[in-house]
Amino acid sequence: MAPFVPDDLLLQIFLRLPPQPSCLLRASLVCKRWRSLVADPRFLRHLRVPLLGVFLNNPPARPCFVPASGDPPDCVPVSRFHRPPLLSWLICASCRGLLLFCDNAARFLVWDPLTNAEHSVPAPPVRDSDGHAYHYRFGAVLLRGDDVTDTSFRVTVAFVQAGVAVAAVYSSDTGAWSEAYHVVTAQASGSIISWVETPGAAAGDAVYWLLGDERLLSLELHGGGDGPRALVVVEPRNAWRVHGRNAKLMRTTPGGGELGLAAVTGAALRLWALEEASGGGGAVSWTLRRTVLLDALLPGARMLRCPDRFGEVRSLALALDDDDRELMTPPCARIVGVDEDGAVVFLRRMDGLFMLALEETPLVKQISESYYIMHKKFDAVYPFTGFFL
Amino acid sequence: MASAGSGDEKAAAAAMITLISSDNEKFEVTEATATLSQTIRHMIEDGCTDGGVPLPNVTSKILARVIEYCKKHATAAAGEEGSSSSFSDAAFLEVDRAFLEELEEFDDAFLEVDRATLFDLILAANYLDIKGLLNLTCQKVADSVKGKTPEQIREMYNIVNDLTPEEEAEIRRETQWAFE
Repeated sequence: MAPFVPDDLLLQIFLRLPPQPSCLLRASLVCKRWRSLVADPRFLRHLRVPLLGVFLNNPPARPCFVPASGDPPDCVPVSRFHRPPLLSWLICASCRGLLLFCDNAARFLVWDPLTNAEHSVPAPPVRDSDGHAYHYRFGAVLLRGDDVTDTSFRVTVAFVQAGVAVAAVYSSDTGAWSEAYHVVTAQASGSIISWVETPGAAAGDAVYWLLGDERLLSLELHGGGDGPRALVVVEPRNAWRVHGRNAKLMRTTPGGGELGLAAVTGAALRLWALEEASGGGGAVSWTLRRTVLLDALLPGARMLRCPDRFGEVRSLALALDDDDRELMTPPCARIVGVDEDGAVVFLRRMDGLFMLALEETPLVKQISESYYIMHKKFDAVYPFTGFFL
Repeated sequence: MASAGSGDEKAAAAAMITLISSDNEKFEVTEATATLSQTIRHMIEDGCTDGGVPLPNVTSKILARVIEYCKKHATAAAGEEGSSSSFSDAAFLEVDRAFLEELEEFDDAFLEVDRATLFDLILAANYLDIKGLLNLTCQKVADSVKGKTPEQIREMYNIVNDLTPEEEAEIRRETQWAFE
């Protein structure tokens, strides 16, 4: 290099490298000085961590990885993640490069695919009436800070049975679960978390799960992470009109405190935000923020419907308006995941798995068209981000 | 561009500053051009520009290029201020767009320099604290590294590989996919 460029200016250059996973890695192999600068976590925390792909459960085999980062040299090979944990475990959450696994007795394990490190989490203090077996009927959310240098994480678990929801938080810092928090969800038969792949999301200082009856279960956390404050049931006024269950909870903005919901109804993806309802009094409702027409984005969206699981038409003894008709139209795709920042949505159709970047001009990329993927009716993918350095 | 400046502003814009390069060459520039540099702006605010501003870290060759950049972008900044009050006017928007395109073309042409000059410009932009120029030049280097293998990057910038074969093998073991 002709003139000597001081470290801080080299870092200015590295900050502007494109986000492809191969780019930083190649720069880090130029010389010792470049390597020490690029691989320094103090530098990495200034970058947006690239999305490498998604993991998905593939029982009875181990979970599989689908790369999302493009063509070589940025396509992380499936073989890179050689040994996910035990065969009988399922992924139930992911967050910033970590995956949370569980088994049917609600035992948990956090796995770092890049380092292959495992961290087992003791059994949570939430028990069903039998005292043990959950059969995957709980919701879990994994939480990790934005800072890549911070390796600590938290696990939140909620379980609903016989009209009572129970939830607790585990912190890797203390290695212990908080006390269990309870709330009565009423006896409505639908107010359960029916499956471990029930979407849950963190927003602001709380974690949310979508209950079977379309209400929300919210676990408020203390800012410092030293324990939950309260478990409450939130009932948005217009919940039943919003998503027809083809939905995932999400953040509305990166690091944002607002809870959002992405739902595919008919041929559109709709992004909602939970807002205080007019009239106040603490009532909330879903407010439509954005509509993305999938017809124009997904190839042949009108032709290929995704009838599994939502072909069932709601029996509403009400006059139908346009919104209701939209909800009753089979959705053109199944929404199977969102990233931690609410910037990417994953959609499954009969012909493959698609990634939709919610930029100003939405961008769709088909990340898998394999026979293998097409014939799995999976409900969730787990986005995986990380640096390879 | 829009000539929306008042008489006072015109007077301020016409105030001249003398910049002195490391090889003692003098450059007369308007204050509007010079103050794209935060470093010089602070010197002007502190009233220590009489008799010229010595810039011992910048050669005349590089300073001439930096001034060329600042002149162009100072005009752009003045244009933005002038048209901000009439943003609803379609004609002004049209002019702005054309001007921005012109500015982009200027930046592209400006960056057509050899690598040594490019790094000299980065150093100067940093020393003079000219955000736009620093961003432009750093981005240019970052773009040049994109898609290149470590070997190509070393060759391009004359960097000696001081990683031991063991270190390199260790890093590449798990990441061979990124080099194919």
